[in-house]
Amino acid sequence: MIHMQLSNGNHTWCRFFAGDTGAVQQYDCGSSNNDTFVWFTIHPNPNGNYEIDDCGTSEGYSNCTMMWNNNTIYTSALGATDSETPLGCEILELGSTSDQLNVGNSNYNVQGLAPDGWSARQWGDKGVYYFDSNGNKQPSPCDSVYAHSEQNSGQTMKFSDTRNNT
Amino acid sequence: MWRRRNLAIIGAIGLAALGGGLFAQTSSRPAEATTISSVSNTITINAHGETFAPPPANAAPALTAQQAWAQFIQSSTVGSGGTAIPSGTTAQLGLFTFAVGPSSGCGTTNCSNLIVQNGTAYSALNQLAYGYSYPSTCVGGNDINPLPPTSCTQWIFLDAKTGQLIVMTSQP
Repeated sequence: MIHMQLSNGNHTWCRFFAGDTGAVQQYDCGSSNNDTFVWFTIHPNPNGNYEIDDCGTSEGYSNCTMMWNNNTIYTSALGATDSETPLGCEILELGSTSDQLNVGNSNYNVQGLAPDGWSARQWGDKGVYYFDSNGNKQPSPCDSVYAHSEQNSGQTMKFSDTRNNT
Repeated sequence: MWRRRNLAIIGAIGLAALGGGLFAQTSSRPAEATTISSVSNTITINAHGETFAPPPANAAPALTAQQAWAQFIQSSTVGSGGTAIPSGTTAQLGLFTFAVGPSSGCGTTNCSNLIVQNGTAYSALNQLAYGYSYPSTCVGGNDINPLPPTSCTQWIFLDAKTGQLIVMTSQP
């Protein structure tokens, strides 16, 4: 989900995807309710491209709509699950300590397809940070604001914003 | 700008994913009048087939640009910004197309909500739409390969019949 601030001051939450060099396509704005799970997949398809699917809110991946199918498969791919905000710590993220934003659940873990089959992976370089003007990773003063955790070696993750704890 | 872009990130796994990452838009519009017109020449939003083309001469949208915008604001957003098209925003009537990709990627169900024509799957194909645009700043790249902020144009495309959002996006 992405939070959009419109030029008239109104705001909305949208689903989004980003292919190619990162141009975000926001859609389905204003329709998601609290505690809604959205299923999506990113996978190579038979025509040799990456495919991003929106599989809706009914649990599972049996009824998906192709959203993007325009990028050829990379020879050295990697993945990440992250939560990003522009403009520093000013923007509230979803979730509080007692009601966190979930990525994956116990039935559907966040998984990658390795040569030996589908598996959840241990998260690597986790943390709250930003990139400076030279593109170097720096410690972030937002570390006390944004919280994150992983469960079962990265099968699921949780995000929250401690300012929502009231 | 970069120093203000903080990322809360749980890091990389060996999962195949597109390397594009995110663009984040921030408004930097000058105060100027809203203009409403029809697209005169095809505008390429991105290189993969997202375009906004001139409408037919007899195009008769069910809603005006103002009505469509108001419908979108009331149905899909929260706030007290009002339903007027913001100043500095250009509203144009045209035919919006979004090419999802080659239809050879279609399986049994994943293109059932798409338009398939001549080997390409589209989520919108020559859909009569209003495109609302204004200057913005985009932050691109991802946490592995961040890109510097650049000027871009923010677009909001609404169905000219219903006022429903088709897509919001940015044009480099």
